[in-house]
Amino acid sequence: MAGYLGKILRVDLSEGRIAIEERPGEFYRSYLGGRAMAAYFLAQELAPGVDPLGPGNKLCFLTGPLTGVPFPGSGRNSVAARSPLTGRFGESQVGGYFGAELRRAGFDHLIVEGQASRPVYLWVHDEQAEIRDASALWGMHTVEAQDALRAELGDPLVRTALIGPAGEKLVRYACIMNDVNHAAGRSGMGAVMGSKRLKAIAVRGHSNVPVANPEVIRDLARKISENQPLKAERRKYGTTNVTSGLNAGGGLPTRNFQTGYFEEGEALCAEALNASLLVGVDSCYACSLRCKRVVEATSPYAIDRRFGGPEYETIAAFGSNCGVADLAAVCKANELCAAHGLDTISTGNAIAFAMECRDRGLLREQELEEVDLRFGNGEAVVQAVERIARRKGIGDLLAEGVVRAAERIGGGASAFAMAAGGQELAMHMARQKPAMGLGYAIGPAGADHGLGLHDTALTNEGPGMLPWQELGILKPRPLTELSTEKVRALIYGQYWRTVLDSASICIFVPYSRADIVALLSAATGWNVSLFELMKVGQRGIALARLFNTREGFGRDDDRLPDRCFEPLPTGAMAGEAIDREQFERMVDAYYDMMGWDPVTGQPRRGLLLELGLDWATQ
Amino acid sequence: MMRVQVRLHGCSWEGFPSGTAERWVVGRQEVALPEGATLADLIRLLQVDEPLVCLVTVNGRAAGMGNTLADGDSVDLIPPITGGGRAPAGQDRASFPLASSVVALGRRF
Repeated sequence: MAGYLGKILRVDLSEGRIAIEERPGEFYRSYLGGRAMAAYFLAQELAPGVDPLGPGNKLCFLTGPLTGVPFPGSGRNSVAARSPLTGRFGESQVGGYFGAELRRAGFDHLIVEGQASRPVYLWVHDEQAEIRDASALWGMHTVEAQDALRAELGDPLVRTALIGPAGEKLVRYACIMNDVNHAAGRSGMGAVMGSKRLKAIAVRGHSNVPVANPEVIRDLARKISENQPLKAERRKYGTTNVTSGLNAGGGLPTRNFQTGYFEEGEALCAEALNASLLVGVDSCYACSLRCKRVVEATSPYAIDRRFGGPEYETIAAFGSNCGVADLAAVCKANELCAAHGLDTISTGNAIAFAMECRDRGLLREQELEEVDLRFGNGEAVVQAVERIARRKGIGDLLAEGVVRAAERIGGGASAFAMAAGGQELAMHMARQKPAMGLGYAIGPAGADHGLGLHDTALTNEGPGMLPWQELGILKPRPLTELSTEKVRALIYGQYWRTVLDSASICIFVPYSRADIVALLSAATGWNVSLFELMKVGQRGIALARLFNTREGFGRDDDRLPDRCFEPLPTGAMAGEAIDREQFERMVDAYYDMMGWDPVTGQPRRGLLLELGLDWATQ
Repeated sequence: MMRVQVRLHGCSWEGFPSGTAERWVVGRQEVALPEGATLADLIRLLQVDEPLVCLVTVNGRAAGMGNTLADGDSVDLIPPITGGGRAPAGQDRASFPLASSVVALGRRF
């Protein structure tokens, strides 16, 4: 079967049992891999009401048919489980080398079940797997643990997916780090791994992934790799160069999303990073774009370059959203998150939440301890990250996520919890990008910018509209309009993004839809069409929704923080707010268009049948 | 003549035509314009590919293309910033004539 090894590795940590599972080709063609396959496994195999941090949860590492095939953007994988942060479908996308190496070791997917009685790690190599003792690794930060694993296994090219102390301590938004500096950040997958007492997965393989038509893949890889201006831009800035434009456009989350303009924003921009802390760039498997940042410093903070550097999301989360204009503090916070295994978005959001609660007199002196949680205090941000990772003092409260923390604080603190679907908002303002806000509210994994629509991508005639027109979205829409046309674009965008995240192809490599169709056909030998792929995306979203409704989430849970409905006070978008009644109408329209029942929220039977999901109608 | 400060903001958006990335994210630049010039005049003078401009602000406030500029104004030209998501790639592009899109956007404000 071209494009797949055809082997799913199942590891039961309770029983110490390892099994290899095979499935027919139709299964792979229906779900591809990544997110859609994650939705299949979670909806199919998890018992309703399963404890996200108990042995019944399953932690799935899923690749796509192109993972590990040498071309730019193929170094991705997905991690999925029921989220301990949101209680919903939990899934996170990550780059690096781990996914590619897992395939080279002979497996497409890895599903970890049960719970070990003591710390363990998995050693997966050349079609074999072993559960090994990890007592000596427990408590180590990510670089220490990776170094120790490579030394123990005697191979410096072993690739890892591992947790830091935050995952061990079940911080609800702990992440899993691929190769130490690539994060499966969202949904708290690190806490699930910690609950299973699984410190790390080490992989090494020597096989090549079989593909049907390698010439097509080589040609497309060459097209990207020979685009010198594209490579130069990605290497120079990565994602960090959106900071200044978002600030100038009034969409940079500032002081816990109170406004979209940060007066000191220039200090956080790409040029400032490049001129100060940036010492190099890094890459994922086989990618010529090298968009990852590498920073280093000795003072005022010692920052180890092995942990990489911040993405835009991280700069906004610890920078503007905490009112901090100190890039060194932002980069130190990023380094600590990589070391301890914390999602930078949720961590920054939680600290900003605490800062606003302090401002409003909702945190008592003893809760504040010695950390001076004021907006603008970069040192306090750095201290707070460590406390969250170790669940120390106020960090223990914030480690629960802003929704639970606000409930415990009481006194109206929930008004300052910037979360949707149980997850902290990403660094895109719903008042500047209202369809992004809609995506936050109804996304299968809670607030996830990866499944929202960037309204800014749909404002102009010209070449930017061409890929939308391929999907039947024919006309640009004004930036802050929230309309049924925007809802259509959001839905089609979610399907397409789920195609990429199921094929496990990076969104930052500019392949057209036709390129993706060609790549998947070339990998698998199937005559894949855009229609068929969009159905895979739709299948994934429908199953994730089915999972969520089974866990009791419905129409009443599709909410945004009240703040999103209040006018922005400053910046280019001053005065902009989402109209609440229109928002509710558009949530209803989304349900109608998706084929979801307006009362139960469940995907309708006809939709499931049309998607070939007969088994899910039972 | 009057002088305005202009900044072209960058983004990681593959709709950017090849070779222009360096031009964006260059910091503020001073541009001389005749009295009474509008934002549309400025964009024409800069030869900015108009579909790349998602939002224009003058002195920190959103503005339309017909907006008349004044000496000392500060102008930000902001591309379609998608951040962690993206607009999928379209076909390769050369240059496009001035489109009506930004004017339409201007009406929004």
